[in-house]
Amino acid sequence: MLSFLIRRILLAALLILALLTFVFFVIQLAPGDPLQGYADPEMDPQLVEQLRMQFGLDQPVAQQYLSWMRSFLLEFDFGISLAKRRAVRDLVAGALPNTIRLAAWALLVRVLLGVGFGILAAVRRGRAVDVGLSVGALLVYSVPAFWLGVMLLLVFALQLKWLPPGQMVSLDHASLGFAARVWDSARHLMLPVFVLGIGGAAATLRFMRAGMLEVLSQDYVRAARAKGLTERTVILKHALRNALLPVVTLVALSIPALIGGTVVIEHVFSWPGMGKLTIEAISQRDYPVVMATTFLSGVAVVISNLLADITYSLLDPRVRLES
Amino acid sequence: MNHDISKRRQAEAAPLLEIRELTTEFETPSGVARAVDGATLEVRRGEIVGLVGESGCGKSVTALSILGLLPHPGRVVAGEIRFDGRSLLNLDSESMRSLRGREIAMVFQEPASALNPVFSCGEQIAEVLRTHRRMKHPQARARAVELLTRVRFPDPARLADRYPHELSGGMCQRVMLAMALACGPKLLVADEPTTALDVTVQAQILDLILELQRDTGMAVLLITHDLGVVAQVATRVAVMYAGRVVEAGARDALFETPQHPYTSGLLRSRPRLSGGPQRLDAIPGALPDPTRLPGNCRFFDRCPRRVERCRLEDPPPRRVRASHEVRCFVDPSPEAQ
Ligand SMILES: Nc1ncnc2c1ncn2[C@@H]1O[C@H](COP(=O)(O)OP(=O)(O)O)[C@@H](O)[C@H]1O
Ligand SMILES: [Mg+2]
Repeated sequence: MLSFLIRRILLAALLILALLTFVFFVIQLAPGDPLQGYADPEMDPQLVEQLRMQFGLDQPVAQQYLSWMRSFLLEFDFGISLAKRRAVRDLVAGALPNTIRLAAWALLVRVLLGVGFGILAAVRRGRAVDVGLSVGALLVYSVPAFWLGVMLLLVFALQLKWLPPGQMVSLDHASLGFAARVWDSARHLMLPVFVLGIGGAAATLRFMRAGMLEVLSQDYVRAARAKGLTERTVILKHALRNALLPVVTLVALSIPALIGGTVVIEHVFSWPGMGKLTIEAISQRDYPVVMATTFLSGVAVVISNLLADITYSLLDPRVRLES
Repeated sequence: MNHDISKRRQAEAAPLLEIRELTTEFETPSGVARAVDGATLEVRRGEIVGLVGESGCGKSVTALSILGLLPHPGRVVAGEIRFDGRSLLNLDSESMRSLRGREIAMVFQEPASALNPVFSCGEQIAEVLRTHRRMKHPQARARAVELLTRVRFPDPARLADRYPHELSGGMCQRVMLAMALACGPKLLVADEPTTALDVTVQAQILDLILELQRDTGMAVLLITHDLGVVAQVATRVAVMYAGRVVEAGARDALFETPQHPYTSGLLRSRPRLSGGPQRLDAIPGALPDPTRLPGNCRFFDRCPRRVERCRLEDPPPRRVRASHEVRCFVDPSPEAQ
């Protein structure tokens, strides 16, 4: 088990190094000089040269690569944003937690709704609940997230005024008491989290239902019943544990897509996260920021793969021992 | 007081398991399949009854009907199952559940797939004890290790931590037996417990079942398509054909003077272990379609002894001697054997 973990973690670290190298060379190969967009053509060439030196752009590629790797990995120093004239690290530090907050809640919604209703649908196969859930899942699944987001905003924020129309907190957030602050944040989270999580929940539900149905017809489920275990134990222990195996992989591997989804959702709900940061940086040719966000989304992919492997191995002894 | 005792005696004299005219159907797209059709069978306390018949004749469905574990869309449509004085078919699902694994245990044909791949063997035994005996975790685990010793594992503590995929088929079946023994059941239903195993392992498992039966005094309903297995361990034998029991009797009587032509056919098609060329005369023909069971004798098409009456009528059970019954019109003459 331990050697399995260590191997997976080493592999993940290696992947991150490779990713970093890849990002570096892609940016190197991109046409144009990063300073082009910012340097005024009438600017003193000496000043431009000074800037190039300041950003290390005058050094040989290998040198740039090494120092870049070092600052990225050891100092989390992603350079300075050309557009915002601030350390990229600070920009990321401001935006990343917001995106993680959004994505984590959405993931929770996805897993709880998807797995819970998936079990329910399978156990009640063919009955009204099952049909209702399956139709509902199909509907949700076929609605684009941005459209759903805008509609919910229109209805709940603009028409009914039950929920705020975007942002993470109200303007008077800081002046509120603790409970009121929590409630304020929760109200701001509800719509974006719902929109971000519900599509995945529908997919998870269908996957979970299918897996559960397959598992429920297995010999060991019949044997578990023959032992006189309660139906609850049969379903929630014997069947669920097996049915979860493929779902874990599905969910973990969909984390990158979920993070990708935040780009649209952050835009619709004016959420100050990584998505917003990335979009702005791309349109402004803000290379250091683009590099940092590209790198971080790659890290997210690697980490979710690692999580998938670890969770899977915890759930399935066959994987655990085969290594 | 006296009255109570005599009542208890009576209850004890009554068979442990009594199946009367059991009929179990599956509603399928191609019609209603009658998997079991009026089967009658008894298991007395402490005896081993062999239920024999070719594949598809309804043995497993009978077993699952007893435990109330019929897969959808199967259901018992007629008949009665009495176990230890109770009628199982009228039992509510919670009482039935608490009976399973505690008073009636079952082992299956494919031991490797009957164990859950994601839980250790020890855990799968211990959970039975936690459910029925309300044991706490450490106590249940200790008892599970004891049970593993009883099914002849030399290193039971280590085995308790192992997972099914690390074990051979025979080992899995021993774990299943340990699980079945956990609560000291009155009846063990073993559905083809050796069919999926190698011949040498088959013998070990049979031997183990026999030993456990002797030690605990539980009754065993041993389901198999192999008369050889029955000959080794059963005290009584019931032969099943197309959803009903066509012949039942004490093992020796049934083997020496089989009454039903199907039983005779099975006996002839049995491979002999003792030297000489093996005679494997399988009975030609096949089981009737369970969605279209005939109204006359089910064995008619395949029967070497059929007479005109068999074409028209369904033979009712006929008593040949005390506790030897057959559903056949034709009395086999000694030379027909
Ligand atoms: N799940 C099911 N759906 C429909 N028919 C079934 C099902 N299970 C069993 N049957 C029917 O019951 C008959 C007897 O099956 P079974 O009891 O498994 O035979 P065996 O004697 O080999 O154990 C089969 O021929 C089949 O037609
Ligand atoms: Mg069978």
